[in-house]
Amino acid sequence: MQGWAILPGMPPAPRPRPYVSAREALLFGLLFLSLAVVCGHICSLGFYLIDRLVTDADAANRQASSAVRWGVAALLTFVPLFLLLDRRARRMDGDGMPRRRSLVRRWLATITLFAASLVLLADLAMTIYSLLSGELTLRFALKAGLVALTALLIFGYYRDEMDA
Amino acid sequence: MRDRLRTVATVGIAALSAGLVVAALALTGGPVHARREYRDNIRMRDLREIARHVGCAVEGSTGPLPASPEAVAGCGNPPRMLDPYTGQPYRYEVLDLRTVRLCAGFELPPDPHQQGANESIGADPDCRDLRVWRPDAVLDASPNADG
Repeated sequence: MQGWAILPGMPPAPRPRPYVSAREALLFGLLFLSLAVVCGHICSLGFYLIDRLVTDADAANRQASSAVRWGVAALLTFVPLFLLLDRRARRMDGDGMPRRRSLVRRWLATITLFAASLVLLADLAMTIYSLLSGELTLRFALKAGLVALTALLIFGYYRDEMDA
Repeated sequence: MRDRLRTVATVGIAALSAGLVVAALALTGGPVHARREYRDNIRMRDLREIARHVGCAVEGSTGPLPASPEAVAGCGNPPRMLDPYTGQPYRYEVLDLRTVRLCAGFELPPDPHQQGANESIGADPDCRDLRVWRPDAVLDASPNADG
């Protein structure tokens, strides 16, 4: 009987149930992947720019131009894909069907939020450690800020999924 | 609005990506610059191959480095001595018992970060001084040893 909603004066109606759809698995799987690739390369390119723009006497490492161009190529490929899939997902939300009970979508959102939480916590711990050990440079602080910003954007993107 | 946060996040991700792509292209150069860099890398690879070939040819010998790498035999195919893009010959000069100076028509100024451990940029930006590996024991026995 738990699968039925019984309202006074109304006939019993089936409750919406979580479901798995191959089509949604493809859509949300690709959305998840594109978001992960985009965020990874945002951090990678951001680190490169910070290294180039902020001098740090302690650090001499420099990313090769080929790695930077790979990051640019990945962003130029995956950002449009991410925006396209996001638009498709929003359109599905707007058609009145109870899509938010999609198990695939829920699980991918949960995994993403879990990973973003870990990144945010590790970022915070590293920043505090650097501060306490006297190694907190402007360059490090900017990189930590970029990682935190990226993790917060992911939180913002998937926040609604957890309320559904 | 339920999706407002998601919209802000989506726009933020797209804007951040766009800004980074523009900044990265501005700093590394566009496709034309990358093509020049690629051609210079091929030239540099040729010069390293010439130095490696010379090192192979004098292996075990105590004499000076050969006056011309083309004369080297017994170390596989001779290295390419012409710039594959301009057809101009690479310049070769022996500096001492361990070092050769090799010059090519590089299109970009030298980047000190891209030099190998046994390489240095000569006074002429088109030239690189490449150190040929030779064991100390061999050179110490040489009458021409330069220390």
